[in-house]
Amino acid sequence: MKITYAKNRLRAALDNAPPMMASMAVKQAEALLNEMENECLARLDVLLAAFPAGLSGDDDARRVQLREVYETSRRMIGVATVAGIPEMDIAAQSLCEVADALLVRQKSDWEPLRVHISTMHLLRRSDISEAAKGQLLVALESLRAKIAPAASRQAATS
Amino acid sequence: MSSVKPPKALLNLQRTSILLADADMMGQSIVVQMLIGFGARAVARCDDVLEVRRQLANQPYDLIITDPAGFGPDGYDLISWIRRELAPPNRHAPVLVVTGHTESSRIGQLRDCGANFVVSRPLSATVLLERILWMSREKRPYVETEHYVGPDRRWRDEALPAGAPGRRQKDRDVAARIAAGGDMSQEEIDMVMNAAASS
Repeated sequence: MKITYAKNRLRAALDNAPPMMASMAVKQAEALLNEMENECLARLDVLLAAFPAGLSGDDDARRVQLREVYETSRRMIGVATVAGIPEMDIAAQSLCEVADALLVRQKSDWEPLRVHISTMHLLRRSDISEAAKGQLLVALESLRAKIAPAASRQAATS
Repeated sequence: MSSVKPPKALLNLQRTSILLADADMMGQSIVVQMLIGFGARAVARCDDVLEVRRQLANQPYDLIITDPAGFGPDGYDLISWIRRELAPPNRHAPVLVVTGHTESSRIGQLRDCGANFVVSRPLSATVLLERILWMSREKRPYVETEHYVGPDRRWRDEALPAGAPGRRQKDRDVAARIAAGGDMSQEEIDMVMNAAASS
């Protein structure tokens, strides 16, 4: 085994810059993110519209569509929180875990995917109450636990 | 946006050269906005693995941030390539993986690719800043073995950096800095990891 003690260039770069309080840095970053809210909402709408209305064709074709559902959902994660709909990030994370579990088992059931996508459309509506959002997420979590019981909630790892 | 209290520390990315590799433009933009908020001026953005490799081969970077999932298998190979093939200083540049979800079939690759840290999306400004601070304070050496090249994974639980409030109930305090027992060898770590992966 070879061991190398390399210079930490990141440390050196930070040391050479004028100091800024971390709280100020976070405040500036959050202000810039707030400016992106409408852009992220528009992006969410594009991604929501990209979900198929169902899976069709033979097994190979259905698996390709299932993977596209997974990829679309993965791209949503992180965008929804900046768009002001953090619940949509939770739903997208859940959809990723369900789609991933189906891909691993080489199954292509549409119903759990449909439930997730319908829920996402509901979460996107501005007239839905916080309580209703909470109930929708509880229902999704229950569904996810049935389809992907072994999936560790990856969001909890950060 | 963040419910997490920022650490009481100083940080300014004004003189830090950063490479951001992400196939998704919106994902890139969100991270770039945070980095600009932290003072960054030099952020190179790439949405193509070949372009990332070209950049890394020609320009030194102090920090690499990437979402490998968007690049497919090439994204994980990219980090392994940085650690195995690239010349210093980029070979030893801190690599932060920012990802929304990792397919179960890729978790082993992500674990072994040689990244310094992995953080999940949605990403708050506080968490990103904390991780950058942690990487700047890292003193871990880089190890090269047959199966793994990257930051030494034999690190003690040194608890939270001084002044960091912690985000979880199970976060340990400074008393955890006192190590109990000896370090495991890389071979022992490989055995444990391989046993976990095959079970």
